[in-house]
Amino acid sequence: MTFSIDGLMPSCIVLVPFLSALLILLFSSGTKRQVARLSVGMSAITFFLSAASLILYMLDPQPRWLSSGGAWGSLYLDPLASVMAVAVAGISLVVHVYAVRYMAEEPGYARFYTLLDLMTGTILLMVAAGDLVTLLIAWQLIGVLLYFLLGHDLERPAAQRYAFWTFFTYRIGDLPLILAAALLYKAYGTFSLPVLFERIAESPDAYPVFGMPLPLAVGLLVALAAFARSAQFPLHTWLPYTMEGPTPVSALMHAGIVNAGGFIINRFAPVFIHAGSVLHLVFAVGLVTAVMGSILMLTQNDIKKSLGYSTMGQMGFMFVECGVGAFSLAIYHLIAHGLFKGTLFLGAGSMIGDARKQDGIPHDDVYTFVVERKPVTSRLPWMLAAVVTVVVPFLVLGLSRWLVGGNFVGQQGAIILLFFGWATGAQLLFATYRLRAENPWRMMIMIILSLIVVVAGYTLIEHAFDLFMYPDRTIREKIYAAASIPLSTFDPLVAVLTVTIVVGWLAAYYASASDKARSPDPSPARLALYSLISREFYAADVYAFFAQTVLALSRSMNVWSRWL
Amino acid sequence: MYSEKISRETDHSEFKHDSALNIDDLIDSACSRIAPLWPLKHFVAVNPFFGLIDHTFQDASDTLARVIGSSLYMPRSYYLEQLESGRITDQDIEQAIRACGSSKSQENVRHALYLPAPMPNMGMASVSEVLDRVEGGIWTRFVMERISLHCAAYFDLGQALFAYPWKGKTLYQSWLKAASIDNSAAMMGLAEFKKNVAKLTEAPRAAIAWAVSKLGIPEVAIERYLHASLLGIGGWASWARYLRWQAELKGGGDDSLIDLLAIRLVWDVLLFEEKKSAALIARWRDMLASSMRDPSEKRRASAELDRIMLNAMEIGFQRTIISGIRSPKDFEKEKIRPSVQAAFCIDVRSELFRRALETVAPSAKTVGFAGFFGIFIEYVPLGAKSGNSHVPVIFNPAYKIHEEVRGAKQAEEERRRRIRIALSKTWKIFKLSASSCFSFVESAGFLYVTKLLSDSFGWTRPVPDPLRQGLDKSTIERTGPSLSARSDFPASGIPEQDRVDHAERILRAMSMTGNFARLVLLAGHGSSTVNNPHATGLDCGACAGQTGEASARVVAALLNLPEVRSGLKSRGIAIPEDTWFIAGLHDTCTDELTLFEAESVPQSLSEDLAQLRQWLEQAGDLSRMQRATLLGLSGVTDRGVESDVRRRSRDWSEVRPEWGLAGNAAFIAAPRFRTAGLDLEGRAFLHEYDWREDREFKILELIMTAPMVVANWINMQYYGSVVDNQHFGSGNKVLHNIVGGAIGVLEGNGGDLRVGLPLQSLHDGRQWVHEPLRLSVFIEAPRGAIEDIIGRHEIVRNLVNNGWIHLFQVDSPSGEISKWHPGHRWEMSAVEDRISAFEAAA
Repeated sequence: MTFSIDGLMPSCIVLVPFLSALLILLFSSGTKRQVARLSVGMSAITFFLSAASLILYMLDPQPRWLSSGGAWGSLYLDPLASVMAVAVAGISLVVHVYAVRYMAEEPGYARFYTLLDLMTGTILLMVAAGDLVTLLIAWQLIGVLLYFLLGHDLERPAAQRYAFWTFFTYRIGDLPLILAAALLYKAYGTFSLPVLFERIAESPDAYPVFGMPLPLAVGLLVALAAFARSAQFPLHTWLPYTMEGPTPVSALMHAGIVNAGGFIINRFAPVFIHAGSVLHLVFAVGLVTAVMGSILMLTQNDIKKSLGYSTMGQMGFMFVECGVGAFSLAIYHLIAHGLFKGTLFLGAGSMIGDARKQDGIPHDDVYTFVVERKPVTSRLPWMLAAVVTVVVPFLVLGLSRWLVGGNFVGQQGAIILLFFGWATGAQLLFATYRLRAENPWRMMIMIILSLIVVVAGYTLIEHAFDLFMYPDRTIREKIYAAASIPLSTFDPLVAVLTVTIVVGWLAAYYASASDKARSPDPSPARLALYSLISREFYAADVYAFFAQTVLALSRSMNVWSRWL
Repeated sequence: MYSEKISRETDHSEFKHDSALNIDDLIDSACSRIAPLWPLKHFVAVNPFFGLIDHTFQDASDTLARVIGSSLYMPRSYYLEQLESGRITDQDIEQAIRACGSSKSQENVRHALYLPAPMPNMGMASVSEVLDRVEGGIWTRFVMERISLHCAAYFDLGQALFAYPWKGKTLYQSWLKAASIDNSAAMMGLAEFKKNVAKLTEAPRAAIAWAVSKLGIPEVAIERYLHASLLGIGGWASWARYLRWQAELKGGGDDSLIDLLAIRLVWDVLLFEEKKSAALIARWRDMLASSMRDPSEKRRASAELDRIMLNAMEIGFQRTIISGIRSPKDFEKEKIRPSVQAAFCIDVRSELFRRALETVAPSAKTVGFAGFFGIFIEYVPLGAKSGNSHVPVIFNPAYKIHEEVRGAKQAEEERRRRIRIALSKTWKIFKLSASSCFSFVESAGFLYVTKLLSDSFGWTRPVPDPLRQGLDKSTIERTGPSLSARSDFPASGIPEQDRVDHAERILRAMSMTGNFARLVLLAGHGSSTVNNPHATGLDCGACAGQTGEASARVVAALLNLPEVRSGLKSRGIAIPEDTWFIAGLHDTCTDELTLFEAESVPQSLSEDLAQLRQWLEQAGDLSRMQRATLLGLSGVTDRGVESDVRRRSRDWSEVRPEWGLAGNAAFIAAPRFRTAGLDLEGRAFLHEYDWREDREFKILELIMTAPMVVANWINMQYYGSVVDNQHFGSGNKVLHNIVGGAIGVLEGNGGDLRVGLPLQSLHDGRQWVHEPLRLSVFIEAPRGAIEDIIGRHEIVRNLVNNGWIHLFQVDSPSGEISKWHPGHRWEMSAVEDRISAFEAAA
């Protein structure tokens, strides 16, 4: 790794948005059109600069470190920073363009754009931070700016309330990160990230903390900060409720705010190499979050909360990927998800376009109205379909991985992800089965072919991405090694999981084929479950309680302090 | 599904209360005050005060003031602004004072305007509102959210994938079940909540009676309290009212509205019982007592002032119309054959286009008629088994018309379309289902880059146009309605024996019985917008929120059939050989008119067709220019306006693609020459009507009972959304969140379902663009005929006698205008109108 002070472009990427914010403030007396043009223009410049930077990196893969000269205040452009910068700048540009008209009649138009620019600049600072202090400053500033963005509409008490919940949660998450930074500095004597990581690689066990090796303690603290930032259970409530705010803000959150958890884990990858048990914790929390998020999404009745919980589930999945050692895949996931979710949010009004076209065309009951259906079509025999569903995705995924990655059987992480892929493929085929097409075989074959194409494509891209992010093979191996659990535990786990999945799908097919009517009175267990889920596990009520307590406490403190 | 749940009330014994008064009547009366809310899929305008039209306008305003604290008038500052800007003149105020029968003088009125208005009172507040005032806190919001969440889950049309477990029960019963296992009230401090819920009766009416007695509401105030409670959850109440409406159209009934009222009241009682403190009881009694008091002198004076100002504004508007139409018009029958006839919907946006068309083509004749063109159809798209109704919501469709592809095998085309749609649905399931969405993001997430960019810059639509989905471009061009029955759907199409009857009825209703042009255009209307939850609200209301092309195409096809033409000839309507009916769609967002099946037009008319296309394009340009100022494009070139208008129809971030019917204030039923050349600024519904051709005034009756009522609904929806956006409008569009699949919108995360129009449709960020005025109806027909219809139809009677609309008669051929006054009958418009009109014009 060579250090070269090369300069203007990378610092511009971070500085341009700040400059834009400053200009807007100075010229806030300008018309809305001028403000919008300025901000969008600067945003476009930022995007092109970051894209150029990425291309330059790909041509000459040398990470660059730029320093302002002091102990801290530096930028570090490695593959992680370059890729994240492009993604963040891209989504920010789209949000800037969208808000031109969308927020045109809201009060505080110029203020909104100022905040957008400041936020973009701060996120870029975070992804490109070269030392602990810069990273911390950016990390905390994001929380503050998010509070202002979410509470942009000063007239709505609900917006202010949920913005406060967010801020509250973020502050809980900031504390561990500060502690981690303090520990690292005390142990290795430097703030600079590249130097820090070198020293950790040399002597990881040098400085125990309360009996724990340092990387383990730091890893745990970083993971806690990541949990709060990325809405992991139980610190997740703020996420669906903040969808209350203006749509552009909800879309922007997917550009490095809510997915900062995945980023920070990647950034501290050299630490996590020596903190395998933390990775197991990350896996567990991520899995629980993914499952919870998906379940909660199923019971929401309005589109924005539903999207909010879906994001929570996706963030959980991102942590699952980190937890199994597929760090680069987590970054890939968060970028792809950001693009996907951002598009969905900005186009949420089109839901009605969807609803309009349910015109009695026979299909599955997702997103439909109750329509009289005349059974005119046939279905595949359920046993056969079930077998096809269970076997085919497994084969497809296994084959593609083998063709691309070679020794995947040795990587536990890859196997776990294989399971997810398997469930997906099976779900797809199951949905096809339930569709009652007129030519079910043809349908099934078309779907399988599409599946093969999609899977092949994604495996290739994912492999290339992995090579790009972590070109050093030994690091990749070490990460996987840190994340793996003893074989004696792993093998039985895999076996049990396989059997469960197979049986589960067979049961689902059987139930669907026999079209059993649901009994009129649901069991108390089911009711209790429904009630729990529809109340979102009472997490919101707990939050409300805590928020009120904190505010009441601060009010009384305010009163007392007057007497001092 | 909901219509079967008519709960049977038999046992009130547990919850009897002392008085012998009939609470059921009061409940039914309060429920009838709520207006229905149509789902987003076919969002139509509804008069939010529909349940109050048996009151006079002033009484309705007073009632609402006593019930929810807000009246039917704008705040004082608004009228002051109008006065200062010159919109309201002294003359208007004078006339208004006379019209209201007030004893004030003009100086009094002006002076009083500058004084502050009395503070709005609380109305009949619910227990939660009183509790909020006693101990602070968020009780009202909490109760509202609990109820709203329950309703959203119960009525959900498909958003939630985990089905609601108690769907088979009534709304009230399922709430009882859900509340008995819900802990959130306990977490807010109501420890006995679940226990108390378990003790409640299962019969909603009994529960209401019990609640009312527990809260100690005096008998005379009960109905007001019930009304206030319903308005407190007005959005969901409107939805329940819609379900009842639909059930009644089919001959059944639905009691979800009563269930909802019961839930709301029970919440109040449970709160009251648990939070009973001296302060609460005192405040509650205080609220009840003050609601029993009649409005004070000060308030009455203030209401009178408001009434005068509203009338003054309306008189100002009426003056402009009266001065335009009030002149003797030559009643000679046109001898010249028009070059083209064009029938448009009565929608106010058509007025702009019609004027533009008449400007570029002086020999053209335009006609206004209800956008469904008199044909009651349900239109079934290709591949579907059932379709959407294209008739006004007060009717049921009579025929099922299927879409077909000309020159192709239907079965094959349908199969292809179904497969395509099924594939896209599978893709969607893959995208959104709980287990597969993760891997979906991995595999296809990156592809969204292109979609994000192209949607962002308006190159593509966020979702495909629902009408075009699954079809290639070449196929779309060949699809159209099929009038004859299909072999696989024997009950479809219009039977041959009915066709001539309908054709005759439609032509007579449109007053098109002679002097046909060579080309007759029937133009339905729609609006092309993207990412707009209220998209259907901008489409044709007369077609139940669908676009008007289906009806126009069906009627055009009908009138082109040779056997229909010969049938019509035998009935006295002779359509010339060379006349051809062609259907079109007026896109009100971009002001483009697309013609359908132009290739079927006979060769001999190809020149006329080319000429028509040119005129339509020019008319479109002119219309866009006229709308440019309101859209904030003044001073921009033609090209600039055109591209901006097109951009608006494709931009997913645009919250106001067009202004819709903002500004609507008049309904004119008269021959076109009465209003020809008048610039009505897109504020009038224009219905073609020639009373001399109307046998027994049947068409007049139709006009007064259907289009006029629909225009009143639209007018009142705009009125209500401006005057009280909190209760009758839907707030800020930017925060809209679709709930229940496609029921409606919430503003933000929780709270009540919203009805009415968003602020962006009414306000441009600086001032109100829509002027809240009651509809002024001008009818050119003999007085006797109008009086007769008023006498025979209750709805019309209520509207005109209670001051919901202003009715004017235009005498022909003199053009003298007379205003309808209940009791006084007709009052001629005074001479000073003419002078003042000149003054105003100067």
